[in-house]
Amino acid sequence: MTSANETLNDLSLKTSEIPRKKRLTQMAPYGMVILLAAEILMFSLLAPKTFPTTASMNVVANSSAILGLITLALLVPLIAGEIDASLPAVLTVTSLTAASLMSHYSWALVPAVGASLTLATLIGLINGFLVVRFKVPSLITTLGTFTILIAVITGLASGRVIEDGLPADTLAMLSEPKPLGLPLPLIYLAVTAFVVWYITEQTPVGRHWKAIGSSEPSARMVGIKTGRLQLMAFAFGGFLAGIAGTVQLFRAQLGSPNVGPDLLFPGLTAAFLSAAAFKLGVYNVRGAIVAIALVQFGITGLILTGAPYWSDQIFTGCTLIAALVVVRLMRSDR
Amino acid sequence: MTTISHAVPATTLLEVQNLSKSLVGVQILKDINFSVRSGEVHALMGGNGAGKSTLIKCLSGYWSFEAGSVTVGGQPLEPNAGQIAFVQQDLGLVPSLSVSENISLSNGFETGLFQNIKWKEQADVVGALLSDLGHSDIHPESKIRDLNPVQRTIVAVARAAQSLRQGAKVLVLDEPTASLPVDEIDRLFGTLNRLRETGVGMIYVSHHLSEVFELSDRISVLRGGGLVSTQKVSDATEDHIVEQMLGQKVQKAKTKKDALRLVETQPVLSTKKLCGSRIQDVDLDLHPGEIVGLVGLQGAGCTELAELLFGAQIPSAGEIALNGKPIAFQHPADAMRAGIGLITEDRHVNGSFLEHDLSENMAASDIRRFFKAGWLSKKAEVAEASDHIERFGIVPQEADRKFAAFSGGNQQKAILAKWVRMAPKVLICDQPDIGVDIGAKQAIYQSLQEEAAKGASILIISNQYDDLEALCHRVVVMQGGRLVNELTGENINEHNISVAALGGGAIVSGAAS
Repeated sequence: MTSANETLNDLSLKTSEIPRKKRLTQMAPYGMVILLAAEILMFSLLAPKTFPTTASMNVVANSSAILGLITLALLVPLIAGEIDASLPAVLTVTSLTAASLMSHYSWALVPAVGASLTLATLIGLINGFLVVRFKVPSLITTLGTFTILIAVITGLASGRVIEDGLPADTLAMLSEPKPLGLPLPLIYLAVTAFVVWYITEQTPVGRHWKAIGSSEPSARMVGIKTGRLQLMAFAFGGFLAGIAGTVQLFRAQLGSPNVGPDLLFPGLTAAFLSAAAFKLGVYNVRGAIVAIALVQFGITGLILTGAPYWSDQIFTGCTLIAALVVVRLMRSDR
Repeated sequence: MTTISHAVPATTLLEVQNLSKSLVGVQILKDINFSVRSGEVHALMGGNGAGKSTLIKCLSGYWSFEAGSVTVGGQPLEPNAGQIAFVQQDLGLVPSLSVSENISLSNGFETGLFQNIKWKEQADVVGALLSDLGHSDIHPESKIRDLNPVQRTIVAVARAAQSLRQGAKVLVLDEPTASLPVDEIDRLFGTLNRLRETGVGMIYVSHHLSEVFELSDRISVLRGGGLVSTQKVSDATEDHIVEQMLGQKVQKAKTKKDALRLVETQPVLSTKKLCGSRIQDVDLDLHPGEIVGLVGLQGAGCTELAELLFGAQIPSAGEIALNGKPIAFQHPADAMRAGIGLITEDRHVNGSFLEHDLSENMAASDIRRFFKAGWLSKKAEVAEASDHIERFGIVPQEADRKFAAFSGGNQQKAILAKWVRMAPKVLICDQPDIGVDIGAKQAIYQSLQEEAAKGASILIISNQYDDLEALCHRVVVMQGGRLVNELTGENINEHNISVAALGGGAIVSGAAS
């Protein structure tokens, strides 16, 4: 038995169009991957001596790490149906707190990082509490916390970097080695991405987040404790932003008040864009990784082909819009 | 203006002649003839699918029609020309705007030299309008969302009244009492009578027989897209109107379903003096193996009762007992653990995850069972979904297809499968037939009967009284948040259910609860 709608749809297509249309639709989940491949191919042809090299790949990898980590952090509450816009500021607070504890209070590295990660988780939890308990819109609320955290950042660092009294050698050891030729920050990103993928896609908690993100009332009506789970998503998001801040500290070997807040828009864009790959309409980790690669390869490629310095933002914007439009056009269902 | 006597033929304000309307090749309205006179309330009645809303939409200009003519005050009907004022079923107000703004959105603002809105004058005009309608209690600056349902309805009426002042001749009210408690309906009627005295002609759409008989002068009944009759209220009886709406003589109930042996069984779920939002003192017993129908008009509280039983709402008073033991659900999860399932009224709002796969939807109520050795087994999930697809005849047979891409009937089958898997002791189905084609509906009812035969207790909320007649061992009726009637045995037939749901005809119930 075929539903009436389907029959109508099929009839409205000319017979010759059906196979092509079907193939295109089936490929839609991979539209962004295809776009990424096309991008790499294009820059390899335009800059054959500089783009397809280990050196440029290292640049991509290095600059992807922090953006990638903060995107993963943003992704988790997003999957559970909420936005935590304060996370990029949490990143900065984390790295500054750890740096400050070591520099001003002579803490050792491990307790300093542990304490700052706890703080990051706690900030996520507070955001979650506000949103879940008082049912206030998460975007506006967390923009509020974002603003507060910016002030905290200024207070912690007075606009300067914190570098005195940090265990520079240890920090360098945690970021500079290249096992298997891969920069350590990239490995941190890969491990974190795996963990987030595992939790969001392979555990009941992740599936519950996904259900809440799709329809909170429906989730409640199948017995999911939505409030508690959203709280967990916010806390986990905070923790991941803390990880991003920690890796940033390792990489820069100092606490900087400048890295973080500016990642809000690129991070959010990549997280949103994740829904345009693999599982269309659903935020997912693999999609986020492809989105980040799409952006970073583009930026690096532009630099290497000698495009003017301001062109990368134009390129990023265009890529993101193009990716959305291409996938939309390939889809048939809506 | 004086009240117009029916002895003298009043001016005809609205004239519908031989109106026909088809949608995608299906004739919805056939040859409708219909008129409204000045100072008259003309009631329009009919069951679901009778064509009432299509007729209203033709009058509002939302639909064009292929045959026939409509004239208002002698002029042909033009879309959006303001000839007819409407109070829509959902009122059509913007909650975040004020009373004054809502009224002016459709009728224009009082503006000054630079098209600036003169707020003071604006408020005065609206204030005067409201007090003319006998409702100076509503402040023009209040936000719609801060008003109660009665006041909102009055604002919608005031907005229509403003259109009438600006030249509209006829007022159409589409179930304006749907969200009103009984005692407030009188007040609304007072307002409508004031309008009537000014010579306005009204079309009044309602399911409530008692209201129609109280308010209107003539009644027209639609059925299956055709006009069955137009008659004076003084010549009509409630039973006769219901008969015309149903299209059949009142007949004896067919022999059906297995007689129930519930005499000595203990109820699996029972409530005592249960109260909640919109629910008052409900005593209801559900027995194993029993299929109980729950009927009531919109706003009667059927959905709210279902939510109370499922833990989606917390009772404010009274008690619920499961197998004789009092229980207090804090969350649907508690009810599910106790073996209660709920198929929600609007599956798109709170019954499904549209962009997720069918298999994920089916697994959603308990995903933990697929979590083994640290991984979710997609394979086990899909295997189970495939079993359900087979058993419930879901088409197309694709477990990994998006839920939204299935037809309504197949979606509902999947939702049913999700609950049946739990082997529920009590399964509540809130309007399980909405947006479901007839084949799927039969399949769903059959599954429900099988569950009942296995000992589950089924509670069905539905407006399809013929289906309830065929399915139910008992039908309980809600009105204004209370259980007001109960039909058992031979008394369960479509006609009796209709009459009872409309609040008419006291029917002797077979058993006291």
